Amino acid sequence: MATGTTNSARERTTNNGQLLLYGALGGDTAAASRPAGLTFSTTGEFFFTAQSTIQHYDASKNLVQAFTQADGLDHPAQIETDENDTLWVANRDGNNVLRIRTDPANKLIREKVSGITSPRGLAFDRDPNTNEPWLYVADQTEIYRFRVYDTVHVNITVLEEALISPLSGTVTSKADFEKRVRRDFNQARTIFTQCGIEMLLEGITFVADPNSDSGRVNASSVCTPLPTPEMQMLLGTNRSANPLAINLYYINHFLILGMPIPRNGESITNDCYTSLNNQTGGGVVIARFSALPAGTLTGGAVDNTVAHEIGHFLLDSFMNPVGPGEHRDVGCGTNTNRFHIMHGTGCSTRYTLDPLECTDIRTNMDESEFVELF
Amino acid sequence: MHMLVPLLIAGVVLASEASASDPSTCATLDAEARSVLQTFVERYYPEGSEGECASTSMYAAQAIIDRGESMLPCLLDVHRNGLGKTGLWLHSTPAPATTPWALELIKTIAPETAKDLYRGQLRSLDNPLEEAAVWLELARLGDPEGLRQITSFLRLQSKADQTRARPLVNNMLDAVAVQHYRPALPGLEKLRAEGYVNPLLPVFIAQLKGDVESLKELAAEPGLAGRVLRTLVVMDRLDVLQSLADDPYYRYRKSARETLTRESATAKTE
Repeated sequence: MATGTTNSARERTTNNGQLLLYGALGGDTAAASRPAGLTFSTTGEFFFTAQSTIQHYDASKNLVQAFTQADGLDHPAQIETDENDTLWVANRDGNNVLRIRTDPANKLIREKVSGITSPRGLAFDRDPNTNEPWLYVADQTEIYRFRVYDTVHVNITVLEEALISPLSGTVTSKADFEKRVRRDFNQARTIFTQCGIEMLLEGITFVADPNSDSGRVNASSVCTPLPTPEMQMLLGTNRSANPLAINLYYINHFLILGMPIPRNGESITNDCYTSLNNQTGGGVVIARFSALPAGTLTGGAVDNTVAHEIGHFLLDSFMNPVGPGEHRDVGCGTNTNRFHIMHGTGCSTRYTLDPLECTDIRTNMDESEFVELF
Repeated sequence: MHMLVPLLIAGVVLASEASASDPSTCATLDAEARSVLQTFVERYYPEGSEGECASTSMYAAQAIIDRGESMLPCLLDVHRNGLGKTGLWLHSTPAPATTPWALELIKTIAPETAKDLYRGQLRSLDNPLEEAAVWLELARLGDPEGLRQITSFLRLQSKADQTRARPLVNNMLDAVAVQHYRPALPGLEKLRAEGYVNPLLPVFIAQLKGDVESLKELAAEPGLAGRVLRTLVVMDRLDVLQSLADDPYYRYRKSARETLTRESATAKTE
């Protein structure tokens, strides 16, 4: 973004001190036909609108490219670059806002906002409390606010039977358990924010166990075409109306073949259940309690289990590895055969996603659709 | 699943064909195969006080399955004799008395071998519910007698028995649907008439009746859509699936398209 001082009507310094003259863009004065919006990137690149095009010049005043009607432009008004130098366009007669990755070798244009009328202005700001970035868009009569991050929607369902300790019979109140659920969710939210992904909580709902089995759910021990019938019943309960939301369930504890097992959570996708459709039958299951080898039930999921299982859900899998894969190795630290979020609960690296796994989350062939881009 | 099932699958250890002094068949595995099995055992039985991620354990299981029948002798050994003599149990605690996962792996790698093992279990049982649980496993493997037996079980259940054996009943309902076993329909309709609660029951009944119109209605429900789309594949009604995939007002049309694409890819592979 341009933050420099203006020296005259025809000059402007960018934030890295490079000088541009409007009238000297490679001598191409005809390019600037009825300019309406203009902005600089952090590296001194210059963009301005001209009719239904946006001209893109580098810091040396050479024309890099022109975005045109073929890119969806229709008399754009204000334009702006964000902190990542992505170009945002109030596309006036297109009645939308476009987000443009301007790298000519990797150009990408997406419609960020639609359903508004003749947007003319846009601006970025951060929430002073949460530091979340927001996009403001003005049309003829209103100003709207939109999230800047890519988003993942999460719908959480808690089995009421998960509130009851199977050992002592102690009942946790819904209010207290909801605090724990929010803590787990916020842990995941913080971790995925590192990838520029904003996790949105659709809601937390308490329901009775659809299997009428004290909140226990029989899990598979091997990958099969579909999850167990009990798991299917669970995953069919209180699903979000949004097919691209991740449905997350808290249960009391897992069983395998009727026996309590030491499992904290499971991600249910077609990576393991090959006939499963992720949108209609996928999800994440978190165990409040977990059985020790001796059979004693103890605390199940830890604070970042939710993040780990959502990681399983979103990442490409061991079964179809692209990149490091999920569980092709053991250990923490710099283990390059395993994504960080897939490290064990005791690994500090589990809290720090690396760029490769952020890329995988956005690009793997099936679950990436759950990340709403822009 | 009902608590009786582990008694059958894990608790009834068949008479060992190997003497106590024989080395474990698992000792003959090559280093890589042994490592794969070792990894699975460590993840299935995590040490310490923290549980493991089920997905992690299942991916380790998949690595065993991927090695196919070469793993079978060792898995049979573990199924019959446990982990004690295999050298795969490295924890300081005693090896578990039962290894239910071994038969699950055998079932995936060698279904016919698993059928023989289940039939062997039947010979040592005299409890009707335990027998029903073994017939269920056989039915899941497509065994005709297994399907007949669970159909009979579903038809004859009293309402009190239904409640008591609810997990078993639910698994049987799933099995007859997966196998598209139409003779089970009267039993399912009886359950519905008696008010048996299973959200998937209307899907199963419509499937076995061939009632496509009802299935299309059920396909709009968020909690049922996935199962209905899969059911249309089982029924070989790809035309209906295609119509849902083409319907611009169908919320799960993308899922329908993906189901079609996957089915098409499977058909080509086969």
